Amino acid sequence: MTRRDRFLAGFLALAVLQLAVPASRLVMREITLRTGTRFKFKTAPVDPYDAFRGRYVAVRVAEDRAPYAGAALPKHGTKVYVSIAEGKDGFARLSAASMSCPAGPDYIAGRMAGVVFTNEIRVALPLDRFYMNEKLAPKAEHAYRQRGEGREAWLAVRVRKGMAVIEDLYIGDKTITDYLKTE
Amino acid sequence: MASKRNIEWLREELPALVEKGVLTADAAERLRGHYSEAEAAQEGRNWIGLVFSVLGALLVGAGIILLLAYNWTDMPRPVRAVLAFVPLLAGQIGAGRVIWLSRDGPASREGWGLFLALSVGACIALISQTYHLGGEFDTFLLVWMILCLPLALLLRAVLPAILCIAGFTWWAVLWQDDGGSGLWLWVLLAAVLASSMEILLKEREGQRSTLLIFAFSIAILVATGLSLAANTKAGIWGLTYMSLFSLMYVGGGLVQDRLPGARNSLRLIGALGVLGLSVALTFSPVWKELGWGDFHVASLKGVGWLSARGLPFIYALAALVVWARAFGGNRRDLCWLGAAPLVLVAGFSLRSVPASALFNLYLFTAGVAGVVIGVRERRLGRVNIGMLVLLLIITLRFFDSDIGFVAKGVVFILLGAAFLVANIMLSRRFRRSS
Repeated sequence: MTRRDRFLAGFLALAVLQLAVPASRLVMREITLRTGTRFKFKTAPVDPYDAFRGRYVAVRVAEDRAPYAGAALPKHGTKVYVSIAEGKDGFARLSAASMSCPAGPDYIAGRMAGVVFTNEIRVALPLDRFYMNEKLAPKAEHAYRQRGEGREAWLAVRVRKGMAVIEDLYIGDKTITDYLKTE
Repeated sequence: MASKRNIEWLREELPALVEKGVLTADAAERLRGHYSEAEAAQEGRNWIGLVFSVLGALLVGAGIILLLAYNWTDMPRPVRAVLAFVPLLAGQIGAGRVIWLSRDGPASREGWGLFLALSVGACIALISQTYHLGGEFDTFLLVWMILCLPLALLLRAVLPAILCIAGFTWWAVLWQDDGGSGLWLWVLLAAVLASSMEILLKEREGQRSTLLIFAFSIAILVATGLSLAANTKAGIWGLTYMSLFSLMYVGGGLVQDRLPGARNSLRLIGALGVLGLSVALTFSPVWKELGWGDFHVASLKGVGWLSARGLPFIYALAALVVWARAFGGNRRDLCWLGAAPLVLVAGFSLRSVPASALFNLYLFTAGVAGVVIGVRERRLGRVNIGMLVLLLIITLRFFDSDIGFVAKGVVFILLGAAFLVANIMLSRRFRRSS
């Protein structure tokens, strides 16, 4: 095996890895979007700028508290799993947080973000941005500020075994894109 | 690579050298042939090729990132996902071809290396955008850089290596800020060094080595800061950085023959660092924060202790060893600026006013030494740098409000008189010797 062959073999391995990392991210999200359970999360959007990834509407899930039954509280930033259940109003609730994977498929892996009481913690969910066209993102934020009764902002999220993928951002009963078109 | 100006100078000198008998006519002719116009022109063309292909790759890569960042909302998700992979595949084909042909010059290696590295980042970013992935920026940066690291080795290109140095450094700063350990930066930098070792060894004099060592030097400055972060004592920070700058400056001068590419980067950063810190230390209030008390071991354990106590010690020791080698060898010209850590250690034992006076004296002496060495070696650049240091220290003290007008006036007059006397004596000696 010549030096060139070794380098070519090494490069091929690297090329496969370079393709595999983004491809695996893509496939996992695609599976979640197609087979995950759909939940509605109430949110509050704002609009920062991220030069690498274009404009997005920064969102924060309004309901971020979960009951915690474990003996010792987890440290800030550690991984916690929160089970998701639908509330009476049709929006998602964090029904329980734990350090290990829950039994059912409807849970999300998040990060410990703070203590509310000894038996209740705040969880940072991986639902913090909704990417949009750079022209639409500021308009979306404007639309959010103008929203009123019956036009609440919420996220449609597909949840499957720890992974949560945003399907769309809604204001009232319209997706943000449709809402901006009709306004 | 010899610059065009140097070649011109050599060609002008050749007839005089032959006349004086230093060179035979034959040897002069061979030298003329070696440094021919054609060769210089060819090197120039190679450089233009390199710069153009790098600029091209950089602009196309950055353009693709911007276009992808625009986020076409109307485009269906699968199309966007596939589009993300197009630049990546193009970069891989281009880089693969360079390795396959193995005879391509640095221009195509650097160009394709940079383009592929940028498209890896663009691909991951677009997937994140398509699926609204939050995730942390530091994780994105780390994954991206690890996927680009082997390119430096496989393509023998420095630009992917420099991108990795910058990316890893940025990641380490963010990671430490998040509560992680910035010490990982040393491991990552060692990995970059291992993958670009071949270029450093094969192109000792090359511009590419110079660039790479410049990037490494900056990253080492940051890595040192991250390692010291557990430490809040100004004295330890001062001694560590002063030793590091001195090490770079003297070390850069000493490796001049074995690794000419390293010389300029190391000496520039080292000299600027030593001068910057020394100027700060000429102000007496700074010394109120410094002293031997900073070195009393606090309750640090494990890695924290090693980095916060071990690192300053290692740097100081290395700086001392290298300084002693320069002093013992034929490079005493490096010893003036290289002595800054020793002066700093002496200053720790003094009260704030004498310590700042010591650094005034030190900078003044170093400036004079620079001028004297420059005159002796007939190097105008050196004379000018010495003069600049002198001018800087004089200006600073002239406007220093902490010293009384009378004291300042007397010292200035005495120094000025000393210069004038020295000038008279020197010119007399020159006249006598000529």
